[in-house]
Amino acid sequence: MDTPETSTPYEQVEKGSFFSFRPQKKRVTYHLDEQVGNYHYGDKHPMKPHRITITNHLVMGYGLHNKMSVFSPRMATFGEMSEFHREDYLDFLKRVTPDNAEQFADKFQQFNIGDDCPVFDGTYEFSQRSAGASLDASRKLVQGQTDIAINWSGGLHHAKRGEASGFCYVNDIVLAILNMLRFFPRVLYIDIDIHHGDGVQQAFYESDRVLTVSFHKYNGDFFPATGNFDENGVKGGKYFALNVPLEDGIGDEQYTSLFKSIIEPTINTFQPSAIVLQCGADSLGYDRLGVFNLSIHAHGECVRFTRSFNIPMLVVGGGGYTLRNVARAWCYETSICVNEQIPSELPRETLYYEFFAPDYTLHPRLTTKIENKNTPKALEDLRIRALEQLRYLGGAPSVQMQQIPPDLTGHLEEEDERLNDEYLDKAVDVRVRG
Amino acid sequence: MDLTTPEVAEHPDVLRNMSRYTLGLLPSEPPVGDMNNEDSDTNTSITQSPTNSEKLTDILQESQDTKALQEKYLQNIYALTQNQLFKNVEDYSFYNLNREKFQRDKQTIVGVMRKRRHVLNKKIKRLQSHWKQVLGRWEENIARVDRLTEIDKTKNAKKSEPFIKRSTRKVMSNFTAGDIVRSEEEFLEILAKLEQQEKEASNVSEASRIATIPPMILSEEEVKSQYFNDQSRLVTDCPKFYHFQSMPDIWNEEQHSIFVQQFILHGKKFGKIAEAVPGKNSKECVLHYYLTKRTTDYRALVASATKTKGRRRKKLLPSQRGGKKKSKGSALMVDIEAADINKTEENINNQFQEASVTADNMNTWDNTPSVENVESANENVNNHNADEQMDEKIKSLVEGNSAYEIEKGAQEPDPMSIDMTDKSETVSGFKHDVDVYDTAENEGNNTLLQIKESVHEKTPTQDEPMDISQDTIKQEDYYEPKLEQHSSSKRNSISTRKEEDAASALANLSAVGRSISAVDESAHQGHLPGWDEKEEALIFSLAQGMNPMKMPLTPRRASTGPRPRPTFQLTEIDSPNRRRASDCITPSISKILKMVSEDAKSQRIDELSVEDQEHTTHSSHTTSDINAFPNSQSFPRASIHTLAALGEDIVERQSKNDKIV
Repeated sequence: MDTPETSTPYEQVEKGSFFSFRPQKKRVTYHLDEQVGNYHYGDKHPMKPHRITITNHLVMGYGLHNKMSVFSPRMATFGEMSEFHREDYLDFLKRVTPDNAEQFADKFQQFNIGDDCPVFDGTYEFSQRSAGASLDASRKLVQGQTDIAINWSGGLHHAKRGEASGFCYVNDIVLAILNMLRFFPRVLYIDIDIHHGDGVQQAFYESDRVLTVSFHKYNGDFFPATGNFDENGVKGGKYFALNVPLEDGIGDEQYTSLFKSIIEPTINTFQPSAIVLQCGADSLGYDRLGVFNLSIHAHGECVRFTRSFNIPMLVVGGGGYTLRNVARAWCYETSICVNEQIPSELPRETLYYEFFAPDYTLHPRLTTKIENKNTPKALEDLRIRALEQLRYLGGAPSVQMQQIPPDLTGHLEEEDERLNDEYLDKAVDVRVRG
Repeated sequence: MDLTTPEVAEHPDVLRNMSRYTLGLLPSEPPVGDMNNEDSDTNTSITQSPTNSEKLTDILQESQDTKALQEKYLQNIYALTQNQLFKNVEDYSFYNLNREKFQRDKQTIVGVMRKRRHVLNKKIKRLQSHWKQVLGRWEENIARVDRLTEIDKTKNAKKSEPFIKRSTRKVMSNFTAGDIVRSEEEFLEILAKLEQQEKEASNVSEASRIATIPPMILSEEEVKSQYFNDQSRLVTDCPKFYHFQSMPDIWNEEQHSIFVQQFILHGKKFGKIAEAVPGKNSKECVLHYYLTKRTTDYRALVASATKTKGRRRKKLLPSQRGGKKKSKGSALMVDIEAADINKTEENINNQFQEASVTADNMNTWDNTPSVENVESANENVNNHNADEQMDEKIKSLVEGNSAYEIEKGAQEPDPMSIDMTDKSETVSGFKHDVDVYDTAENEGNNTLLQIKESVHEKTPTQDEPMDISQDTIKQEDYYEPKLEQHSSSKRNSISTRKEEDAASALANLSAVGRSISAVDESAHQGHLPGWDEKEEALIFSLAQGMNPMKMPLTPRRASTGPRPRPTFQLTEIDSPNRRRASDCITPSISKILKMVSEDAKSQRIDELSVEDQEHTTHSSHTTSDINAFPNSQSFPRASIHTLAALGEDIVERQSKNDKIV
């Protein structure tokens, strides 16, 4: 509670809170590297980076680029990515190519390179572009320059510290959150991909400054085979990992109502300074790997609800293996972020108009014939369990304080003695005066 | 207050030093925050945009300090350009001045920085102590919440016994709450699983997958420095930069042909393709592939090359074998392959549903009221014709015109015999398959069922038998009105022969008109022309075959009552008709030769016309029209000859009956 040291041009800022000067209309930035969509994972691989290019053409076709600031971010550097990833792993990614892959064959098992994460032309470069966009987005949020930052080329939530996993090589979400934690006391991570966000959960499993929430399919065998409701953090991060395991065939009404009933108390209890929302589109119906029955409208409703809390938000992509529906969903969610109503008829001027045959609409019918195995009672149990876990968060020191001291684990008893001595000295002075 | 006052007093000195250092262009070490302030000022003034952080720029512009700084900065830059350039830094006049100034101000700057660090350390200590206090309270809250949950569980347990069982099951399955234990075995199991969880947690930490969180920036100055409107790398023209409408893919024909050849060889390894295509890299090849994917059928090109087929088959085998095992590196791909198998099964179901949709369309056609009206009209017409025929027969018998009737019966089978010989195979085939019934109408229906079954064989088979039965039922409804139409037209032609010459001519014209209208109705029903022709021929032959059957059947039913003789009756019906027809032709020809030359010529013309038009629907009408006139003219002359023919027929019938017995 110090008085201001000097009269500065930020007087208005200091009088209010950190976000008091923000205007009512939300500012949106869109971060897209020009070349990030021109990579290919190989023959018969479902991950197609070109979906980002097609999404961008839809966004420009609807004229949404006029409602936000578009940045072409620079690539992330080796040093920036080593904030989370091990240097030997990054060095391996940097040097391996399809031509010299045989030389590194002994390291494939160590770094989990195989069918899921193959070596393709530009593996390291693609990771640099994806992570660079997420880091650029996080910087704009930290600088107070934007309220919502979008990076559809990010969202690679499976990558671990020292290995690749699930089509992901560099975890851009963790890098962005680490950059945010320098200025924000708490960050909330929400994951609506059909796969559990295991890479992000593991990175912050012992931290109480990042709360990870993941809505995913879980049956003990479905990739990544983690994410049960009893995985809720360890040591300092106890109760700061929230998992909502679901079954096949969940529909729009069940999913959106469950999402809202869990996210609202989570935000009210945790009081995050920023939110990272991973919008993996493989939770849509008719996805090549998806077993949910979500429509594009329901998938976008989660983004709309999270946006309504007026908290700085980073929106990233993720999974999604039916290329045309991924582009539709992310274009629709971009329109939600800029608060713009767009018609259901797709714009005809795009180069990829024929990819959306035969209906050429933004909201195709995505209700599959997968049986819904989520009973109302099971979902109610999940909701109650989540709310019970949130009860423990109330009163946590990381939630109470707005400025978190560093090096908490290295706190020594000697400093306690010093503090006591200082306190006693002051007390003596009071007695002498009295 | 004592701490803050010296900083306030010393602040303008710091600003002055800052301006001097910028003059000297020396590698000075001022606080980072102040430098960023200047950078932000310059950037906002240069690249101001109304859409981004308007208030922030207003705040910055309004401050007088920043304006003063800008003015000084510009003045100094302007002053620099006037001076001459020297090789050595020491030669500049301001270099020594800056060194002297720095020596005098060094102590002050160091003092300010030391005080700032001291304040920051104090803040950290205060925050740490506060953290501990809050942590203590939080731990107490957690303990309290745990007690509350225990109380809730005990209350729930007391309410009802079956609930107790459920709660114990949950505890056993989840092992999240080990409070309720009923036996030592359960307790030991819980302990074992808790140990496993702890080991797993320790393993995770050993793998060092935890991110090291950087410390939060606590100094206010550093936080303020982040208020920064960074416009670097802003895209001002999105459609142009991201190639929205401009074609980003410029390839000539030679490059494209090389691309296609290499694609056939390497598949989707665009790095190898790029090596062969001159002037293109792998990213451009990927883009070209997606832009030309809809115009160039790459799959067909690859499939056409047989050599590549063999290669791919070899490659698929190990992947299929590997697919069974779910290793760490291919866990997600295995799920995708399993999902693809499920999707193919769904596609089969979708095809089946499409077939059912077509069946629904037939239902809508059958339910139209116009078809029902047509059916009812045909039934009325048939009943009326039957009554007229019976009345006329009775009158003729009473009047004693038996000779006329016999002659008419002899003339009738000429066109029918020809048609029957052509269709005998199909008719016999149907009879072998179908059960025999008493009435001729049932025979007609059964033959139609056979036609439907043969028609159904052409359509693709479906798995469920229900659909098959439904299709046959719909086809029955579809074919009935045509049969009735043809039968009505046939009876009309028969009735006209009995009337006088003038009336018969008018009746023939009306019959021709009806047949034409029937043909038009069949055309309106929208069937394939080839199908219509075959259908009409079959139904026409059946319609002709029914009429003579009914005449002899009625008396035989009265004579023979029991059912076990229907097959015998059918054989009698068919074989006499054939022989009767063949016998009748020969004597008629011999008799015609005996007649006058003019009559003989007219008879020959009749035969030729019958042969030419034997397969058309109009053949019966044309033959009946021509036969009517010569019959009426030659009636009185041929009375003796007809009697002789009758005698021969009677003799042959007796011989046939003996053979059958």
